Amino acid sequence: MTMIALFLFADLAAGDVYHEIFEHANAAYAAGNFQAAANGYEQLAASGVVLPEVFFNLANAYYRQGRIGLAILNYERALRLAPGFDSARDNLDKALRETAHNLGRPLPPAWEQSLFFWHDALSYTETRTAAIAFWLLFWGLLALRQWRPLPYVRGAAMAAGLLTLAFTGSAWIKAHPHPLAVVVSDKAAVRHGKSDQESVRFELFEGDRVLIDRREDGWARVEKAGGERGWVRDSDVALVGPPYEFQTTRYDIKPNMEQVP
Amino acid sequence: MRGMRQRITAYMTAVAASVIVCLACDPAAAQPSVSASVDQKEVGVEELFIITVTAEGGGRIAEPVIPHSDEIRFNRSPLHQSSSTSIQIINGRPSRFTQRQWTFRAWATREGELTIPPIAVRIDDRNYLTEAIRIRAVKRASSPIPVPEAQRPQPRAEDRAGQDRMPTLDDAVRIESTVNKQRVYQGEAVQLELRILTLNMAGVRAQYNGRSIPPPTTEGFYALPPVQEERIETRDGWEYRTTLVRQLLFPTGAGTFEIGAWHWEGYIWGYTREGPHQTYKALSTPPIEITVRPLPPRPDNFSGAVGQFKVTANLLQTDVMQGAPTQLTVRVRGEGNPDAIGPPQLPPIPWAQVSGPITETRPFSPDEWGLVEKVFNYTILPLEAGERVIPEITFCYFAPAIGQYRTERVPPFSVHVNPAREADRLLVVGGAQEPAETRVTLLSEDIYGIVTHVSGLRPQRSGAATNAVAGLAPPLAYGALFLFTRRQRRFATDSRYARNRRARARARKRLRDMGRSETPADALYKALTGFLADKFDVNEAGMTSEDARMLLEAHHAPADVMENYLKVLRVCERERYAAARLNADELGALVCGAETVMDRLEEFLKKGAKS
Repeated sequence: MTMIALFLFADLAAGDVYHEIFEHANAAYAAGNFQAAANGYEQLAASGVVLPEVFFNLANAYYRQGRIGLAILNYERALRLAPGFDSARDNLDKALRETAHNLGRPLPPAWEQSLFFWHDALSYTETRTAAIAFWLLFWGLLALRQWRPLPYVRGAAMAAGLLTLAFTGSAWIKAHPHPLAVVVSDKAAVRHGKSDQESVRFELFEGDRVLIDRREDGWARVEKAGGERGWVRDSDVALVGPPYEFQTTRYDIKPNMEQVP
Repeated sequence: MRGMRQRITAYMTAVAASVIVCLACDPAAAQPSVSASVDQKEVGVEELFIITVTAEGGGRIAEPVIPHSDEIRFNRSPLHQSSSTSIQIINGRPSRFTQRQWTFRAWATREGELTIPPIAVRIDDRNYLTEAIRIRAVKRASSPIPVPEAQRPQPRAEDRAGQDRMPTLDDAVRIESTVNKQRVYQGEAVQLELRILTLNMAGVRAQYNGRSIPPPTTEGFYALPPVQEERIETRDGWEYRTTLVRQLLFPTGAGTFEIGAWHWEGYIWGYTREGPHQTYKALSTPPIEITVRPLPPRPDNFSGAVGQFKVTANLLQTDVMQGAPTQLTVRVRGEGNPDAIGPPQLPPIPWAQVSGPITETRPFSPDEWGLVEKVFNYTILPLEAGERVIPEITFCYFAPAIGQYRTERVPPFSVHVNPAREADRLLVVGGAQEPAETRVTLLSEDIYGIVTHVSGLRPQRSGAATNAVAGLAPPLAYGALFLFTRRQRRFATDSRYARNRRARARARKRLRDMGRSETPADALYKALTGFLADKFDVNEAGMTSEDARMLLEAHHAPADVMENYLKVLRVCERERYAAARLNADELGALVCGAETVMDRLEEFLKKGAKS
């Protein structure tokens, strides 16, 4: 019992710490200290508080500093967590208009576009919840049929099974997203090979979104919308994630256990 | 179902009619004939040639009888044989005509003028002979693959020069690896062609020993996807079925690069005079060295393209509305790496907002191998009205043919931009009433502000445990429910099973209720006989200790169990007719004994069921 109470207190204390950081970051943002605000939001995100609102605020803080690439990166992160986050979508559109190319986002494979055309507006949590609900319904209907055969129960169970499959597939795809990355440097030369001696195939600009399919020796192989590929320095791009990579130092936040009674 | 039956009936009727027509045919209507021919009149000694025997007639045609000859040897198994039958109805009278053909491999054993003896074929129980054939045998070296004349490739005269032998299994498969140039500039296209050639003769077949033939190594080159096509080509006067794989390679750096050796190994099948023959062969092509020269110092406007290109551009409309977007399309077409073609230089257009380009690469077409078209689409949003100009567009690329950079130019476009009604009017200072110029101002909306209130600000937990529980719990619960309902249904439908499973519980209940009975011994007796009746699914009413003994014996109960069981029953029977009742201790001992013996019996029955 004591252990549970201690655990709950520790959890509450940790929640307070995260709220405190969030409030400080908001205050810094309001005061125009966008770098401090970005540090605060990034600190939260790096410690596992991966909420769409945190990424949205972080993106805004970068946008205010004129760091379009990092802003787009974090708007994308917010939208991956909450595709229905309209403010993030509008801000992303605005940020994209300020890029040199306004390059389109690389599209998922054709099979995914055909099979899962319906799931863009749903978040991972929503699809997972739907999958679990239909899974329970499927077994519940089977149990009902086992207990007392009623008309239409079999058909309903099959429909529930199919919906379970559809939402499980959707949840899996959302849990394993395509490795989308955003160019975070002003300009990135995309070369034919993993060397500065290789000839430049094309150039990317800050905020351009690409897919990364390989990362080797400090180089990343990128593919932009339209399928053009090449190697770019790893430091020029940042993965939308998860896992999340952050530009500033990693923070290790722990609740102050000494204050816990 | 009815349709299917009708179709089957119609089919059977047609077959029956055909059989009847065949039986009714007059085989004598067609005159029998036999003939023989050879694929060449002059053959090499020990070289295989083909003899074709044809027999025609209205009746049954037997296999030909190959004669014995010291000069000409035959392989008596035919290489090919065919048969055809036709039926004609003339003046209402059907007649049948059959033709059979065999091809045999044969070879001459010595030089000179030789005779192939007549070959006998039996048609309708009568023998018919072919005519003898004269051939000339000359001495020449070979280990040939023979094929019938009709299937043999006919080489051109110039290909035949110095080539007077038959192909052998060694000639059956070839591989080739070629490039169109070996000295190129960095980024210039090298066309690699890989060929697998298989002799185009009946019966010759080759199979690669593996799933797919690995391409040669092309390290240092950027490779476009290969294109494959099938064609017929001639080598050394023989026709080959060729699989041609073409690929464009672009050297990514300067220096000397190598396209590695290409390997093929597999089985080759072909007919020799001894019959079908198989051999295993490994083939390789030599590696190809490519010398790559570096590009000269690059100009600032270099697009990255190397090759030969033409640039064209067109504007979707030249008369546009202020604030309404239009599209400028620039096409770069030519020979070179499509992925290296960067966008052309579009100078700043102060009167419009330009976005893009959106690029599109046209795939290779088999008719225009090596040609590529890359399209750049720009969106032009006119901000100012009036007569405007899209300045000259330039595209700089390196042309290897002249070893220099070249700049393609697209002349300027004149655009008439009509003023929009809602455009801001910029008035000339001095108060003139006519607007000197109008301009559409792009709205500079601010971004949405930060979110200040968030609930649940804590590290997110992994949902793996929830997923596992949600995934496993329902099927497990369903499994339990399934077993439970199945058991319930069995209880409801299988009385033997139900009585057997409930026997012990019923007996215990009876023993518990014994205390309330006026005749406890009788109740105990009923509990024991009821237990037996339930266990063996027999009628309980009127069961005596003798019945119980027979029942236990029939089920091979152990002697001690049977003895104790019967002892308790008999005590109860005696008590029924005795004057004195059993006291409480005696009754307790009897109940105890009854429970023990029922347990033992149940244990024995369970063991028996398991074994």
